[in-house]
Amino acid sequence: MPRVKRNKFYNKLNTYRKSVQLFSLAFLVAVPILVVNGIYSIIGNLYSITIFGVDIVDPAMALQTTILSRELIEVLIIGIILPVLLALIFGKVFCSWMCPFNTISEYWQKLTAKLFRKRYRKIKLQVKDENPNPVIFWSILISFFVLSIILDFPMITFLSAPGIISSEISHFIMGMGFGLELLIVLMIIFIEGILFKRYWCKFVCPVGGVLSIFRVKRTMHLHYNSDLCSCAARSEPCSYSCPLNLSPKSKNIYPFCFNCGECIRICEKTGSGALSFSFGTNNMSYKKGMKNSHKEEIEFSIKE
Amino acid sequence: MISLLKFLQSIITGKTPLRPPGALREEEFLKRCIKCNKCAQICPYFSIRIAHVEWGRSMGTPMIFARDIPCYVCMKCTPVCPTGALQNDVVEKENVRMGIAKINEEKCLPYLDVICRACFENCPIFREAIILVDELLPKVIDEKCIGCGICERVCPVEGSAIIVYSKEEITV
Repeated sequence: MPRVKRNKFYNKLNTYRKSVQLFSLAFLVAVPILVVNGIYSIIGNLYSITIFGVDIVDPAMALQTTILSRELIEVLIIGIILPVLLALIFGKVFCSWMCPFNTISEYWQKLTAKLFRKRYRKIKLQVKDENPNPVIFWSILISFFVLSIILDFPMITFLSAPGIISSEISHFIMGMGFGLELLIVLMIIFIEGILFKRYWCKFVCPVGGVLSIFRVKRTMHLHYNSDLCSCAARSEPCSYSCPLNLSPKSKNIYPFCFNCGECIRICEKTGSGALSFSFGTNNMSYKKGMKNSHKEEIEFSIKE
Repeated sequence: MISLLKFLQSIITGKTPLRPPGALREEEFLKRCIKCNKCAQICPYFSIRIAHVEWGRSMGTPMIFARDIPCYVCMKCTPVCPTGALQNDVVEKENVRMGIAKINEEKCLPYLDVICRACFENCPIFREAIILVDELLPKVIDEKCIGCGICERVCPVEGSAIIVYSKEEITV
């Protein structure tokens, strides 16, 4: 693929992502409105949804139910097939493309950055240069499940921000009013706003956590070609643009990264095109001399 | 805020809520329910309400407040439950056991010599779950009562003279 085309592709990808985000927010509003008007072809919320008879279950909720009830329930296993396949092929794209919490949080982050420019910089605790250790991620996720077994309490339900948001929207439209659980979401956003930038999606969220279990070598991932990178070591447009504050050039961006493609778009703008999505397994391009052959492979995978 | 008031009310009255038809026992139910709200959404009468966070671990689970809107046992909610928290094989309304109605004889009008047949006539298990002793006094047959709460809804007495208690409350 020629450069201009590549540039366009990633630019478009980002436009698509933003419109899908808004579409899925609208979808969550539309479902209860249809239900109130007697159309039951799509029912449910983001814990579990039935679309024209096809059950889709949030893998985190399915795991929690299986652990707490100590039973394998057929429908849950069937229900997680679609989200798991999506995660296996494209990574945590549910988070970056569909999750209403991420949508709200992304816009909120932009807003606060503009509004409180000075204060924002001062208060915020953030590590710029390094990606966090994945051990933190996995231990938080496992501790949630261990805690819910010990306390015999469905914790994931309370920590699933997309689930809470979607069910609250449906309550409100069906005339049951907002519940206090919306405070959980507001609190998460509040802490994100003043303390830790995007800590929830990065470390804590159990929904994204369970989705990132389903990751293999061939899953779509960010590919960094150091030969093409023309930015100085200090100025990194990619890491500044990352909504999760990761640095795409270094290791360990997974399991944190949710493949939103923001860094790639910025990278294309700088003109170097060192970052791209890839389904491939080999990292040969890091060695010199293999540059061109690998480039073709990336382009091939993008075309696919 | 309304739900908070309801919760405080439930503490005062010591009443645990009714679950939709076909629900498992409370402990099992809480573990199984994945809070998808499908039962509440499909309910044509808006009988099934969703518990808010003040209900603690019951948050997001379906409940029925019979005095507001009782369950009309249309049995549309059980097939949509993905986890079997509402057991899918309960399709006959006669097999539902949401709770059992209890008559407060101090308040019930026929026991106070006023003729009233509201609960008797509205019972969906007509002439079986609620019978009239001597063609006058209503009596609940525990084995037949499905606990839908229609009797609680239609009772003309303030605060209802017939109240449906959930399965948990009966066993305690």
